[in-house]
Amino acid sequence: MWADGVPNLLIGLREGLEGGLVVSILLAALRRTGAKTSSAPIWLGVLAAGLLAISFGAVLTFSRAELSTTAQEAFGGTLSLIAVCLVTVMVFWMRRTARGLSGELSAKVNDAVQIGAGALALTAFLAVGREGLETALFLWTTVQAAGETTAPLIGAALGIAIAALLCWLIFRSAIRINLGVFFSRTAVLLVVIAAGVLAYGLGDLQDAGVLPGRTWLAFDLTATIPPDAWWVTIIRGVTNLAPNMTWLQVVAYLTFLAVVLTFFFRQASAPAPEKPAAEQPRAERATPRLAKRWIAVAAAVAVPLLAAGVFALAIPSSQAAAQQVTITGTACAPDFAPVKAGPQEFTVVNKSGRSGEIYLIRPTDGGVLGEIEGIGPGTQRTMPVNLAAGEYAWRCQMSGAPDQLSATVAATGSGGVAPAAVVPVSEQDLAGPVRQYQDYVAPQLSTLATQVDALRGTLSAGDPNGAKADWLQAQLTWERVGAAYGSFGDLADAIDGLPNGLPGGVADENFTGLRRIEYGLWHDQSPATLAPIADKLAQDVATLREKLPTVTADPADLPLRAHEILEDSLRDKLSGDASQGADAGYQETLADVDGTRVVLDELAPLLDARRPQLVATAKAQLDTLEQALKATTAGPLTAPLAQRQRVDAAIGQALETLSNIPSLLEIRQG
Amino acid sequence: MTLSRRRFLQGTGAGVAGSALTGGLIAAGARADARAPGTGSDGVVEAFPFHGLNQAGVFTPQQRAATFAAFDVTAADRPALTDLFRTLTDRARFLTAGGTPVDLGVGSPPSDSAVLGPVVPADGLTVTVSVGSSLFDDRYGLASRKPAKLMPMKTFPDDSLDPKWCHGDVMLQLCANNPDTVQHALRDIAKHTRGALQPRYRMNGFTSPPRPSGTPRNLLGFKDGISNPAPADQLIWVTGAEGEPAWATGGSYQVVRIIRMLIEFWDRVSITEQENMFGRKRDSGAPLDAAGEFDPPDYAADPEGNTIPLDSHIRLANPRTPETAANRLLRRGYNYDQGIDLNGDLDVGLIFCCYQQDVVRQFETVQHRLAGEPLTDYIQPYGGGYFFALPGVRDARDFFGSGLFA
Repeated sequence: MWADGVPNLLIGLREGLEGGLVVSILLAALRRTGAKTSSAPIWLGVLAAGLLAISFGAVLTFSRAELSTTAQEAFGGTLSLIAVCLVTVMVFWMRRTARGLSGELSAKVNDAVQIGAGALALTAFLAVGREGLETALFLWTTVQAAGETTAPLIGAALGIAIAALLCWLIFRSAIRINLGVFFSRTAVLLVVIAAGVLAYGLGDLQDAGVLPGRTWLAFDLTATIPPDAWWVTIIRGVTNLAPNMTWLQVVAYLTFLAVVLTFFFRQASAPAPEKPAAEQPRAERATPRLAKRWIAVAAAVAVPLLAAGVFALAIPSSQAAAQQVTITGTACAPDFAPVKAGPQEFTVVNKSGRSGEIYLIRPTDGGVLGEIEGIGPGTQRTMPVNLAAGEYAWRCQMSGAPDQLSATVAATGSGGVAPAAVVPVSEQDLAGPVRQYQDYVAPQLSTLATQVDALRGTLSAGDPNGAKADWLQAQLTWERVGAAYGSFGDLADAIDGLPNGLPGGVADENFTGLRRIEYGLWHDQSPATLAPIADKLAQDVATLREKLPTVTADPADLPLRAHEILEDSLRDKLSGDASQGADAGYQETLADVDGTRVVLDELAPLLDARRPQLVATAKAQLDTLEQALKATTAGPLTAPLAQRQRVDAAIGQALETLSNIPSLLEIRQG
Repeated sequence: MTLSRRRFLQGTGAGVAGSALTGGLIAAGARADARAPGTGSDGVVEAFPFHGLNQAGVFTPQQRAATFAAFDVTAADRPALTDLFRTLTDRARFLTAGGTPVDLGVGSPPSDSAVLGPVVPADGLTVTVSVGSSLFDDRYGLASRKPAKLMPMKTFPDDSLDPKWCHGDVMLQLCANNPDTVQHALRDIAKHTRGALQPRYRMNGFTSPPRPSGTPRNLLGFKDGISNPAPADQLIWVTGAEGEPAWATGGSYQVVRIIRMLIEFWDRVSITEQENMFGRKRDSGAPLDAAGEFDPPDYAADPEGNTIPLDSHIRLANPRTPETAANRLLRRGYNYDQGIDLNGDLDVGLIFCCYQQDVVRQFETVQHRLAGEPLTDYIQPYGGGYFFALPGVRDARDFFGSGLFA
């Protein structure tokens, strides 16, 4: 992995040296113009350039995280190509001016000093800024190529540090280095690296689909080359070449190397330009005024930030438009602003000091399109939603506070597809159905009590077959009540609990009720031993009848019952898990269908107003289920496969429909 | 004048050559892309095209994870059956391309399980839909349209078939780069086809990475699937010939065989015996008379079977004679692993899957040649069936079996 740091060390050294040399030469030239000129403008330019490079790097890193994989590749590929262009131009510029570097800039400084400190700062800024941008860009692309950050950054930092040291030494005239030789040798290496970046960038563009030919491979050594070998790492790190490359990559790589190196050496063999004689700088006093200096400082800080900002705006961010809305102590989403139709992501910040619910609604009928439930005080949550053109508002329902609506805001434009809105249900809306359900359950429990008494009679008469018949009737009545998933609490367990979860299993003394009697009857236990269990069952049923008005009072339960009764049938009865020997799962499920139909009928008016076809569809599917259940006299444990499949398919289909009911009838209105 | 003219010609020449090179590269690349599936930068295929004359998941390079799920159709009637195949098509089209699941709003449970995250990746998923001969019984009036060679899987002499693990109206072969993607696809398809399609049996499979290179190994430790026919051999897709109904063109006969491997027994067998049973070297996968995995065995030079025994698996399966060339089939099997058996031995094996133009000429002929091979002591085929992989879904308006139901 440290091989990834090597090219960056070279880049850091190279770019740092270039930018640094210019600054060193500026500073040296300035010193020679006279001790009274401040070097502050140059350092200000360097600072601004550094800021620009860093913010550029930050924008690259940050904006990349917002891009999709394809866009990342397209973006990275494009930047790689820009980097290749910059580096190529630079190599030639260096080649041409290496020996004349000092002279050219000294002349510029001379002009600059005459113009003023601002120009001096700008010259430093441009000199360092260009190198800085280049470094940021080049570093970024090599970091992408390496797939990790640490080694390339450390390599670059080392390179820059060495460059800074060299610059200082040059400035101090402590060493004399033949810049021409230095640059021509490193330039060749840099051209090879740039060719690799070109191939890598083209590969990215091909992956992104910008360029074709991704699958037209020139070679693919991925199967034969050990990817972790040190030499592969070194070659990949320095050259950016991959073990599999497309024809476009290979041809571009070779062509680039051939053309650039040919021109490079042709230029090198040409007579070097006459080194211009260094002009003697004239001592001239620059007297920057205070105001000008502040303008320069402000510009130096503002320009890079502005550039970074423009750059960030120019990059496509993530697809969904993001907006923040706030729940305050007094208002609901006062900051809700117009949006463009399409995918949105709202961040809801709760500053109300209360917890509660917030709904995105259609103001015309209050239909809910999105919701965040249970948003705590001082927290924020996000809600993705796709909005079509139209009008929208927020409704805040915070505990202990009246409902509040936000202003109505329009979504404009085309392309959005809003989810189906659901007109909210209030507790009051469900009061009627709940009452109807209680009115239904009470006589069922009365029937159950009578049937349990009959069961007690056959048990005390010592008639196991009569008891079996009586047990089944009582069990089916219990199913019709529509108890599911603990809807009657502990009493339901006492009446119909399974031995599951009891330490003693079927022998556990807490295994009571209908299932216990089934177990006894189908395991040849004497009626006499079962009689006390039937007596306790009768008591439990009586207790439930007394408590009925309180145990079924929660209106939120009823919509759940619409699919949970049959979820229970699927889990316990059709699997045979609940059977204690009678294998009556199909008959029990039929009774469960009856119970489901009752709940469905009670909820039908609320459902018809919200999803008109749902009740009719569900009823037809329940018919199919009934037919499948009645098609055999066997139980789930013994029915032939085709029969089971028919039942299982029908109950699965009905459940998919019924499962919408709790969501549709969730209480969303205080 | 002469100089500038020469320069001009040089420049023009360079320009033309450069343009031709670039244009040629780009055009050739585009052509190559049109024929190939989408590959990610790491070489793992991210998405295979769904539309085409043939289904994906046959010649598709094997993804790492798979499930073979057999279903029976419970649709009420022919229109419901057609709806089922349209739904299957819609789900397969979405799942193999990936994307953001539809938002059903607050009035329904979420449309997607999110086991693959909020945005469903294609992850190299292929959904291959096949139908069994039982679909052509009297329920849907399809009897006259049955592919000519489609029939229930036969019981071969070395089989120990369990009816619970055999046959089915529909076989879904779901393959992807990761097991969670396979499971997600099955879950999504089952949810959307509830009521019309009821699972019968299913088995998850996996392929191993090259160990250390070349063709993946099966759970007997041997490289398996080294020599497969290529598309150019024209041995896989059904054509209009041989009495096949017109709608079947572009389809393929699929044979699925769930084969238990008695690996404890196998591991107690000497290496020489193991290699003689296969006819290949265990370490390299090379035929016993050759050096490299992909070298062809030279049976003519070894008529007595002194080097590669006459009853070895590779010699019986593919004698490499001109007469047997048309018997070759495309193998696309997966290893399975599902816990332990009653005796505490590992319940592992092979989901053998192969595709061919003609199940009698290819699979059955090979199977008959293999009858009684020494390897049969160590394997127990107990499930599977014969199916017919439907022709591909041609475009966004087409659907699985559109020709069959037309």
